[in-house]
Amino acid sequence: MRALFKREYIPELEVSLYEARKQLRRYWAGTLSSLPDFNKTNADQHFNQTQYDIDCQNILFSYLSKSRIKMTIYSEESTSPIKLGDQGDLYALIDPLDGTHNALMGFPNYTSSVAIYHGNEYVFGWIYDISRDLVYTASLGEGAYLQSAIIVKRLNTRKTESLEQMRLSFHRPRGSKERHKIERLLWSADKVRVYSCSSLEICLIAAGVLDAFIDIGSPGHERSCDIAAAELILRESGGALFDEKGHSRHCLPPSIEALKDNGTLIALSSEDLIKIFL
Amino acid sequence: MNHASALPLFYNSHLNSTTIISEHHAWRTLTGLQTSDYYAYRKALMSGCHLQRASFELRHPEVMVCDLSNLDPIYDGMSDEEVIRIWEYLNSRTTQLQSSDICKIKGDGLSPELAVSGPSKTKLLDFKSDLIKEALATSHQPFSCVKPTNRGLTKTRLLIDTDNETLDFHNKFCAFYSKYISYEHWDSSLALNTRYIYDDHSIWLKIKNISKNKLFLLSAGLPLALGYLAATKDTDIFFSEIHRQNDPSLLTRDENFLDIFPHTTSSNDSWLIIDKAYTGGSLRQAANMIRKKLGYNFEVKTLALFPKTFSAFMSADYAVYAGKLFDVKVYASKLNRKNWHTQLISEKSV
Repeated sequence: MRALFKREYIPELEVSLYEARKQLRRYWAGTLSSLPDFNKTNADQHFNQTQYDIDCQNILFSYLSKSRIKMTIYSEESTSPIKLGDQGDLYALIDPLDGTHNALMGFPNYTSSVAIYHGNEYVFGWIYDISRDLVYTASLGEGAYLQSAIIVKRLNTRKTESLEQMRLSFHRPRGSKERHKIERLLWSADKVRVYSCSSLEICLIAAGVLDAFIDIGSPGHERSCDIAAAELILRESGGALFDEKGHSRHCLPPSIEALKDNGTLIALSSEDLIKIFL
Repeated sequence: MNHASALPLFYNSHLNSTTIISEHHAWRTLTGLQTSDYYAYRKALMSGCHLQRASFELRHPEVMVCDLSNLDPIYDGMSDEEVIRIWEYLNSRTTQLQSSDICKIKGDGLSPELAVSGPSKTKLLDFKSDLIKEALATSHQPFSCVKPTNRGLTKTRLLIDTDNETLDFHNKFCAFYSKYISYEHWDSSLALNTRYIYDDHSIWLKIKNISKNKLFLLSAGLPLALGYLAATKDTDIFFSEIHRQNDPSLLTRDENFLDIFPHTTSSNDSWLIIDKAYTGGSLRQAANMIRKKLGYNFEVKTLALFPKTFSAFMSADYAVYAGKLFDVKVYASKLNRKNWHTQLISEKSV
């Protein structure tokens, strides 16, 4: 895979991430693809952090540090920021393995996610769909793309106007009011697909596969570290993100708070569709 | 064990038999093969051979200091005389090079190009930068007084800065071409990892009108063809591949691409073959291939991009030199073998 964008620092970061991709792919082929492991206890599945998360984080750190670009990294798997170099105004928010429970189950839907923040906005998003060896990526103002080892596809969301035409994905809500709402949507929508990996589900909206991802059970599951890269990819491809009340949702800048700001989310292929969900 | 499939290997002229002795394994002695032919090596692997040892030959990086046939944008604001004066200054300085790290690339009649090679790309780029600054400092003419003209075709347009049609064409081509590239080389294949394509230039529209079908030669032809497509929207573009001496891309192949993409078996339309030209040999070979594959009842013309020798210019039907398109037969009688490369700087385009 090749670097696509021209924004300052980004091509160098892309090159580092494509080297990381090869190692993540190797890690998938040797380790993640062999899951589930029936010799391990089910207790593993309830840990917040697994060895798989740590291993993926180490791979990303190792290759980001090789880029020699100075930045501060906030990672889901780390309690304090990691500084690469002494100074610099680039910040990264990463989720080394989004969909850890899927990985443990052997359900092949999990990603590595890197969002780069510079000058008060997210400027670059990179999401690696590990089991399919596909990269979803975007640079602010330069568009969103899907990359395989061979092709580069410009991402545009699908244009739908009614619930009956829509393809939905969702996170199971806890409250009965939200369950009712979700049930109504499920039986009205054209298709329902559930991946249990929000970064991937948002990318699939960007790619025109899905039209909406809904997580409306308060307080919600989606933290900025889970969806910051996906948010940029979706916005660059024509989509929009809201909370359950219909307010536009924007991820927090990279920070400790961004690792724990659970919130609700309605991610859509176009802004206008929000009226269907309110 | 099936010996029948291995037998023809020994009759291959690219193979020598050898004996392999493992002193540390009780002087275990067995036979083997030696070859420098990549396809013979691949075939031997398929027959059950194991790679025992390899030697490597690497080519030093190179940097074009100045190429009159395709000038960098810094020359766009200069007069013809100033361009030639600077080129002559650079020619003189690179010819005098006595550094062991940096050498001028020599060749038979490679008149327009001033290129250097050496073990470090960074050093070469620094050398070029310093030398150009030195040459520009000798100039007596304020460059801004000359109306800027594009004296070259640059390759700085990002692939993603093109329309969906160009990107789709790129993807269809790569999906097809990937079957010829070994899986382990997908990440390093130039064709499968295009980042930049050629920029928009007025010359593309002139080329569009020469013939109906345009055939580009790989792998240099892909960024050219995508630049042409993005500029003209002309989808009558095709690819083929000609392998000549010292082509390292052969080391990444599962099989040779000897066809035309998109596949075509007959044609009643005219063809224009477009390629960068050092001697014009690939253009001639491609023209012969087209005639052999598709017949002799249509016109086949050749266009030499940035010809580096007088013969490359003269043997083509058209040439692109210093950002200008030339109908070769119109200029053939005006040029002399010694100065053709500087004469063309002042000549007018088609």
